[in-house]
Amino acid sequence: MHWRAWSLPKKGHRPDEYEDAAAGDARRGRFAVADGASESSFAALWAWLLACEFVRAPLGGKRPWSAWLPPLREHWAQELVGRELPWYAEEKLQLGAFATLLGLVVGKARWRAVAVGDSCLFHLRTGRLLRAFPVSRSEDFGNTPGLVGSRTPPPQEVEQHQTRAQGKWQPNDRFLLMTDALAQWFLRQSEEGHKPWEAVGGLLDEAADDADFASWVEGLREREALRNDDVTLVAVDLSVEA
Amino acid sequence: MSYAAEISRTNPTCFLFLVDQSGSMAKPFGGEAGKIKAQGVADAINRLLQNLVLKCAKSDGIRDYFYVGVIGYGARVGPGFGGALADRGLVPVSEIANKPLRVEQRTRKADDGAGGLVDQKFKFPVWFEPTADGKTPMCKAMNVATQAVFQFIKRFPGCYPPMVLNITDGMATDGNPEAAAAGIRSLPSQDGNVLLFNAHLSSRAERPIEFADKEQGLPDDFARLLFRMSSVLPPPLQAAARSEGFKTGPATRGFVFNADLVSVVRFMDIGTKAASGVR
Repeated sequence: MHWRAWSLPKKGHRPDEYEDAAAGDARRGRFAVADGASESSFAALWAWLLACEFVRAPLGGKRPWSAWLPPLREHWAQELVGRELPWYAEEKLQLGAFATLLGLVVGKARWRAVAVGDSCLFHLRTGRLLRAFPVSRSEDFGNTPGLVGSRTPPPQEVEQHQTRAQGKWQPNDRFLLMTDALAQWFLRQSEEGHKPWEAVGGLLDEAADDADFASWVEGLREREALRNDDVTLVAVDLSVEA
Repeated sequence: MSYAAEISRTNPTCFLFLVDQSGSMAKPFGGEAGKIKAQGVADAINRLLQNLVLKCAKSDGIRDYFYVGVIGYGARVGPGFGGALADRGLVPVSEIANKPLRVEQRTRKADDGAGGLVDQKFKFPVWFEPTADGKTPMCKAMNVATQAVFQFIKRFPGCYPPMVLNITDGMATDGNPEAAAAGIRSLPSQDGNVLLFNAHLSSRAERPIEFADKEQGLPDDFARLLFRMSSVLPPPLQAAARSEGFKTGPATRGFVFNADLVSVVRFMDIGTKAASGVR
């Protein structure tokens, strides 16, 4: 199993203003992307904590959110405690940070995924899109996706907003994990009869580095095919037995 | 499609508040017992400014997505900020954030994250004190606003159309303000015409009305006048208002009665909305 990740901040934003996160561990078969909500503060830290926690979670069955979300929230709060902040930053800190989360677990012959919000998973096989999760139509993206907060809501409420998917995989399948702007482009292309996975495959075949990825994304933005937003892409290749 | 321009630091939009500070604002406010209208206005404007700042606040500071100005009209017509912002016109929202008149310490009930409530201390910035003095030169205020917005559009021609929010009890003393209002609404950026919203604070203890769609049923002539002066919500704003729980249709206008316009801040799209980003 091989995986690659690329990212690019929103146009007009500095690299330190990027608020998505991606994490993965091929040996454990766990991958995640998270997308910090632009209207919240301290969201990059929260997105990063969410993605990392998903990837380093104990192997085995599903963990209830109530088992891991409260300590992660405490971790987030501890990172920020004791800072002297102006009134607006204090207010935003009290409101908490928000992020989407998409996690993928690849096991023996089967995979499962969990999502809160609109970061998306695409399952590809022999040049075909087998599955899009959790959003399957480009028109279904908006600016109020489901979010996991660093203070609220209670874990059981997050649990209610999550969606899960599972299926079987075969050698040579590919999974793509994307935050919303790129996922929307991907679905729209697919709906119009194009094969957007070929462009993504090209990045992998050419061992594209971050600069190659940036120029590809900037090209899409210039053609107004892609909404201006942080972009994150994780590709997982099951080219050998996982 | 118009009203779709991206709001960013390189392409900001503007909010210009017109605040009635005339003598009639010393009369009781029908929307809240024990309060005068001038206090209702000060509360409304402080909440609006606070929410505009919070919308742009990030961990590393304030992003200048908005320029914000206040024009007071009463004994005089002109820039309405006090303190360090006195006599300033449209200023970047970061300056609003960092230069309130004062910051009060208050307490509120907050969600404890586990389904309960806790007392939470918070800082409450104040930019505006209640003022009630002189006549109501609303036409003159509209003309000053037209100039300010015109200059802003000249500087940012591709901006999301500026929003002018007039907060008043409706009794203009320098003529019928409908023509001046139409003048503001006719100013275009490349993304659409300027939007004029009116918040009518009345002494009548009538139920609040938010985003009316017809004159019929409004409580008095002043409310009907302000309704006619208000922009029809363009389709993207109708959709934003609907997603915030308001009933809107093609005839809905940016007019509220004995209610505030804080929701307008939430209608602005600067990216993924946080679940409870605006208070």
